[in-house]
Amino acid sequence: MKSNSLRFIILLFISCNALAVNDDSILSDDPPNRLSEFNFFSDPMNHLPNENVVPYDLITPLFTDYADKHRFVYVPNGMTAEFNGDEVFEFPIGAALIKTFSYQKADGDELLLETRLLLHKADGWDALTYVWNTDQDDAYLALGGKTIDVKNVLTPSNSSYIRYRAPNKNQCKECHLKNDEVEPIGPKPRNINKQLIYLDGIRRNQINHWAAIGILQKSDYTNDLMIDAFDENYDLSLRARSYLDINCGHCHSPEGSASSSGLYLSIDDKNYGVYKKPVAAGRGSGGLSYSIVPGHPEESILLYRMLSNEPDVMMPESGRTLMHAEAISLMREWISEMK
Amino acid sequence: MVRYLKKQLGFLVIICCIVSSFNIFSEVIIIPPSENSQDRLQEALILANPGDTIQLTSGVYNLEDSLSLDVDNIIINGDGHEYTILNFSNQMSGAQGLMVTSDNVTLKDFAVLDAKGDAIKVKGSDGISFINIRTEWSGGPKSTNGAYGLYPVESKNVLIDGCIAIGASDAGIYVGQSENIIVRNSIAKFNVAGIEIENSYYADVYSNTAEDNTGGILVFDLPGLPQQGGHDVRVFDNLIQSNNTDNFAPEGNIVGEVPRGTGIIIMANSDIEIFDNQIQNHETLGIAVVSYINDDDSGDYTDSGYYPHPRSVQIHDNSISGSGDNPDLDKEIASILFEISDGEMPDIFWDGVLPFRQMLLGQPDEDKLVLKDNGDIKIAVMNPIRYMLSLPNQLNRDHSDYEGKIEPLSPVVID
Repeated sequence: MKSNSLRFIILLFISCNALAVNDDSILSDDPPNRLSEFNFFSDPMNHLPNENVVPYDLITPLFTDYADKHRFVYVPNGMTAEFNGDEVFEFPIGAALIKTFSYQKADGDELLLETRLLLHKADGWDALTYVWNTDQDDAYLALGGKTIDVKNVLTPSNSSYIRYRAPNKNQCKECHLKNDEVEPIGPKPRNINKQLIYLDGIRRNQINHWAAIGILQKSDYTNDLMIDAFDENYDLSLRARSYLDINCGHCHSPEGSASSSGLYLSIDDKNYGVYKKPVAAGRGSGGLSYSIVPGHPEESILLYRMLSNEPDVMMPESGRTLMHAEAISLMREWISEMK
Repeated sequence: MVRYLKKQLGFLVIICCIVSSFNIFSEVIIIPPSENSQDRLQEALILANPGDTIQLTSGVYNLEDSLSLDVDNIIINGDGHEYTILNFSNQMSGAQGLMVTSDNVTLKDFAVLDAKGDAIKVKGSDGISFINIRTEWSGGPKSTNGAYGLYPVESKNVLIDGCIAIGASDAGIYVGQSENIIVRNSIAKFNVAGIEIENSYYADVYSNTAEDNTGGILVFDLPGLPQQGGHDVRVFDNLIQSNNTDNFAPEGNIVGEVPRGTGIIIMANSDIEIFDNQIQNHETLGIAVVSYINDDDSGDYTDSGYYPHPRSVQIHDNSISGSGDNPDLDKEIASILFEISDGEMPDIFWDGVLPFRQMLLGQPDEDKLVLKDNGDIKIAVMNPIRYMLSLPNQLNRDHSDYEGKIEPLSPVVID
């Protein structure tokens, strides 16, 4: 962690030296081999962005083996993203979403794993991942994904080893597919309607800030449906539904990769698995009859699959190798109290 | 460049490009097995261009993660299912061996062995052919085996030809929520269900062998799914025998309710024609025609658009023998039938369950079950009202009540 004063000095430095993003590399059919060629960052190791690259955060993030995530949105100069109801914003061609995954090592340094990009090209979104080299000075395109053996990092799981998987291009699509098109998941109004402390130290609402700097259409958006799933001040059921929405709802929707299961988990879906029988679940059913049995977490397939690390049983199917203990507690409590 | 030429020379050049594309633009990418099979194969599947062939050679490809293909117009070709083996016995991640999500794909002449979950899943594909593919779990029938061998779902124009599926803990060959389907010349054995067509439209299942499964061929329709109301399925010229393996499906799955020793089950669905099959040596029964019945205390997942009863089922010219000498009384359907038939199990059974009004007043003619020319067999049709009220004559064994004219269904045409 950098001290605030150091951060401020770096900030001063970059504000004088912020460079333009390489728009051609975003639009190119042939993606560059190195992440640095996009010029998203002035100081990539410290996540300091270049011009028009704006950090953002989600109210409840998707769980990826307790990895830290640094998210940025890039909208080319003079362009604006627009609202599309409460779905993902309509970003202009040339926009990019950038997410770096990292862990904090036992010695306090940060270990950068991969930076995933969603690039909005003329024919749609393209999903790519760049895996950081051992020198940690650049990341390289990994279309086929990569298995990274991670040791000695700090996570709540106390796991000494993580078989971290950077997804291949097809695995990116598995989660990001909607009606056969690749689509971002996070940047929906309901997910980003929260305060963030920006690099200048000032706290602002993200939607207002995006509008103020001109990368998002102005609005009077007020929906606060999604809440922080781990903030105990909120209603239990809303916390659980928020967690399921961001972690499961993109596949478990009529337009997503799990459409054929008939189990839909977006925050506004009415059934969300109560007395829903498994379909084509195989061993994933765990010998249980329903996704959720109110009052009985031990009889609920939904929890059973979160408690497994076996490839054909665990949910989500990809993106984790560890269990999310806090979420498991949340689901257990929610289903126990459900009537 | 192609675009430029098109503009210059018009239609003729487009035709030439298409005709010659196999020579000029498409490539054969040969990937032999290696220490690094996972990355090499996965990268080839990602970098392939439409029209390419990924050529696998003889040998064992040891794979730790699932493979996936999302490029249209690709052939993945091996040296034969005995020789080209994708071995997933050390799989660490992924819910299936191979996943295909693109159109016009042919999978040919290789085997997928011991996948942790499903062997080959194909989702949302228009034009998927499995030719001479083998999917197998090598440890025999076990509940820890993956659910499905060949598993196309939400797909159109599905061809499964000359394939072998062994050991799946659900169905060896499973086609779900799909349309325009041919399953032929294939062998399914030691699965819970040999071949299953579920929530699908227009399927021809013929010239297959389904043996030593728990149930041979299932045609099911289930509620709560995006595509339901399965219809127009023909099952003919198949050899369905000795499907007497104990049910080893993990509980909670619908096939877990299939009694050991069942040849064919039709559940819900409409316009089904079962003919010219040889169905023999089934310890419970030959053919069952049943409704989807929800008898849970909790109530089913509410689904108003679902029709749970079979309609317009025609069963004719089959040869059925050796049924019912050791029925699987652990399964409800078999135990009820055993009880009301005084142990005299039939070759063909219909549970008789209909909407209440129809049980009182009769079915529309066009919906009626037709049984014709199935030789000297025993049939049993339950009267559910008499059964519920414990009245006598709960079974009708009279063939003449189910005679009718056969209206053949049309053959499936794959586009």
